[in-house]
Amino acid sequence: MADMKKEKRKGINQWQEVLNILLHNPNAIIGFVIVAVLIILAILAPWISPYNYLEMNLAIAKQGPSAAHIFGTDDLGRDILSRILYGGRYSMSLGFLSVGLGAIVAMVIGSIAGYFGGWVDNLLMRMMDVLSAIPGMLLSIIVAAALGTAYHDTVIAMAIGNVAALSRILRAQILSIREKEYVQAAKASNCSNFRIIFSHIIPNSVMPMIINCTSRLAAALLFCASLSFIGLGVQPPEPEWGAMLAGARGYIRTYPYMLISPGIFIALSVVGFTLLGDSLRDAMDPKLRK
Amino acid sequence: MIPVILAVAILIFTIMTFVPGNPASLILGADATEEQILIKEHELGLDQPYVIRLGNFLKQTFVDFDFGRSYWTNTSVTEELMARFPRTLAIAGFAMLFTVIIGIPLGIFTAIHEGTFADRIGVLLCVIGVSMPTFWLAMLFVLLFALKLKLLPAQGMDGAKYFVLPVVAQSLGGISGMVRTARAAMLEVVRADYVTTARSKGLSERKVIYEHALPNAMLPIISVLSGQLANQLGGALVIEQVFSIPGIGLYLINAVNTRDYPVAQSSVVFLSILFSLIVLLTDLGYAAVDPIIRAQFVQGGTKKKKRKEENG
Amino acid sequence: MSADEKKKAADIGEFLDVRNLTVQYTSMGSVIHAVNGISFRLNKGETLALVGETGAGKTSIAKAILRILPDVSAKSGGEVYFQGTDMMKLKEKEMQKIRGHKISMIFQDPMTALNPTMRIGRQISEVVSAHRNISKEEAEVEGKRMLELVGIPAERYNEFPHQFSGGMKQRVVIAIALACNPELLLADEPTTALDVTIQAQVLELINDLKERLNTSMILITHDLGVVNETCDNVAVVYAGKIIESGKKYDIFKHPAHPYTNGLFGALPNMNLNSSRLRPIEGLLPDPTNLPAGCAFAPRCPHATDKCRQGTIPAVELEPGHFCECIRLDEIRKER
Repeated sequence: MADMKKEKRKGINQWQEVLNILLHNPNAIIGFVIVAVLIILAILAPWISPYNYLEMNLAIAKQGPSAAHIFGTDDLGRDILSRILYGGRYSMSLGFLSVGLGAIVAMVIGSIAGYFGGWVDNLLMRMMDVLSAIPGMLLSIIVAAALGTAYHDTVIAMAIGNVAALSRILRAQILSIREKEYVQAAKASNCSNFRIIFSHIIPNSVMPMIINCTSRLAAALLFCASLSFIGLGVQPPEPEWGAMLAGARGYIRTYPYMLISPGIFIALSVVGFTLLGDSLRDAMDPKLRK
Repeated sequence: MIPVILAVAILIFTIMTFVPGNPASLILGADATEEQILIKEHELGLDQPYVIRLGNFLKQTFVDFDFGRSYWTNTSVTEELMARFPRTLAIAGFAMLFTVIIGIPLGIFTAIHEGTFADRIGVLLCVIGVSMPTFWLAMLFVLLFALKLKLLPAQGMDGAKYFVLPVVAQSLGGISGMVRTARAAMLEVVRADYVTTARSKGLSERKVIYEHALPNAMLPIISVLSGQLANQLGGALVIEQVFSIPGIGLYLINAVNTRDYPVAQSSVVFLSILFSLIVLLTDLGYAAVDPIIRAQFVQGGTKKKKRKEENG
Repeated sequence: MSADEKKKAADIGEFLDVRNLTVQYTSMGSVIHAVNGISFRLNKGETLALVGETGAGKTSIAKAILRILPDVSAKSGGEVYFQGTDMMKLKEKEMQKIRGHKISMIFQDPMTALNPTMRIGRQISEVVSAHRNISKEEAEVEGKRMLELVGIPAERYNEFPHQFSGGMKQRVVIAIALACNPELLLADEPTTALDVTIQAQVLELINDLKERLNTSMILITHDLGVVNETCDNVAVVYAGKIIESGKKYDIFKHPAHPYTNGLFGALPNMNLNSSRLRPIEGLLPDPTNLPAGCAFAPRCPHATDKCRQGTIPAVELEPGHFCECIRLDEIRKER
């Protein structure tokens, strides 16, 4: 019992320590600022967009950046800046949702496999092996093709790529925690398996998964853009950044400015999450604290 | 590996059956009659129950080694794949080569010189390099080198020149990622106790780095190679769109959009087999370098899976 | 040599003379004062015990002497005279000639001290190759000889560290340290990470080799029993300073400093009929924020206000027995 309390207390202090380390790390701060700004812009998009992102006006189509349209207009006369702001909503939400969904499914699979072991474990891990045998992008392409280009379809298509690796990580954590004494104590006091998994094992296994998820978020943003670019993710008229690049591609010779802003925003968002993920990983690494 | 590939094939086939849209009606066009559609369906074998179609597919693919014929062009998928595969391989392969040859030494170099100006700049550049979408970078390259400077071609594949831009665009992302991985691996190793032991022996710093630190840093580096390759393959598929290079990527994406099942299924199965082979190779490479696994191979392979899970 | 230099040279201990050694680590903006002005001497053939709690800075002392502290985060100061030369001023290449050859170190944790991907035989023979101009085959012969010397069959020369138990790994570490017959051995808690039964074996091995090869030794430990068995002199380290030092017999018979007394008092005594252990109250001071005056004052039952100010001078109680405490007379009267 004391063991359990000690681990829990250690858990709370760990978070404080991590926060302290992060605040001292310039990369973490930069990453956080970038991500925060992008999220705020995405949330406030309806209020701060200068124009309606769907509104077409062929008269002013294909105009480069100007005072009225800071990023210019696209081939149908829509204001690019507004589309970028709304596009942020798609990219970020798709990123978070797909990683989150993947993580939740992985948690279920990983904890069942890790906790029960035996043939259940074998079966589940074999299934994960099958999923891993298909390179990530390929898997998403196939699933996106099968499901369609609706928003929720894209979430699922992107989530699937995360499930295999995340469930393995969680399973490995669980295997190591399972044998720890406080779990055996809970078992001895007749806790139900369900309770053991949810109250004891999962909270303590979550750390490596969180670290992995932050880097997956950055990758998810790239994935999302790629999927839309090849026509399988979010499609026009919805303003996803990758889809905007696909549209700009046709005008690369004539109106190259259309390429610039969506790409910069994709890169910026990934930089932000990458910096944040890196700093989080460094902060949680026990060996780096001397 | 074989059961996994079989399962992959079954999985893909099953997923494709859920794809909405009827290939028969798509091929015949909007003004086909019911009757024509039914005849076409029968011709393509689409009217048979799922299990029979699955069985046929599996037998055809794994026993006859025949990937079938395209619904649209009726050409042999196997021939097409064989023709297109080298192009995709060229892009992904060379990009991977540069990633390894440039990325690993550069990563180790920055780790050894941690904290210096060069290191800090390198780290920053790599973060940016990893964050740029490759297809965007590719388009920027086309803009600069093909359209403005007219140095290299923008599209097509009539020779090595045409592959320069795609490979470079693809490589930059890979190199950046590899530098980060190699740097992290090396930094962790350099802080280890056994490196201090090596120093306490009075060995030259060169010996400490190259004979003690480096071999241990290679282990985590090798274990990410297969993941890197998955990225490269996926990236190559997308880049083919930008440069209109007729590789497997264009083939697959087109097939998916036109419900050309045999092409789509076979492409995925083919790529998965390829990928699994490479993963197998990297696993063997890792096992060859790690003495703990080597010893276990002598005793029995049960612990190998455990290590794979810990790394994955 | 000028008169001043001669005078200074005369004062330097012949074998090992450590003067005012300091070590600081920087981590995330705060400075950790690990070693705060340590001075001691060692004569040839003697064994000195550095005793103290974990975290008192003892390992840093050893690493500072060999100059294998992590460059990026650690800074050391002071002078370390070995056979007349201040090693702190040597160039790295000259230092490399000393490490593993004249001075070597046994590390605390055998599980991590060996390179997991290199065969242990080579880890021993490379020390020999580095310092002697001999062929690969001769180095291998030496390596096998060292293995036998520490009680490991020579056939295991080509095996990897993971194939050995903790105790055997530590023997390999000892073989590495003694491969070139060093004049000074720094042993950092060589038995702490081992089982009690193995501890005895390893200690015996160290003692035996030490006597045979006439090696001088600095033994870092927190185990007073080990000190008694192996050492001639003792220095008690607290918060990066030596607060008491002298011959083993003197320290064990008349421990003077309240901390030293606390250490001895904390040992369970089979002869007394006590029902509780008597630990020293409190914890080591925060190395980023050391208190002024005596570092032990916050925990000392005899501390007064004068103890918390200024530097505490060392008092020589009997020849060779020093103690940094200003209340020794009063404490003795209180007893």
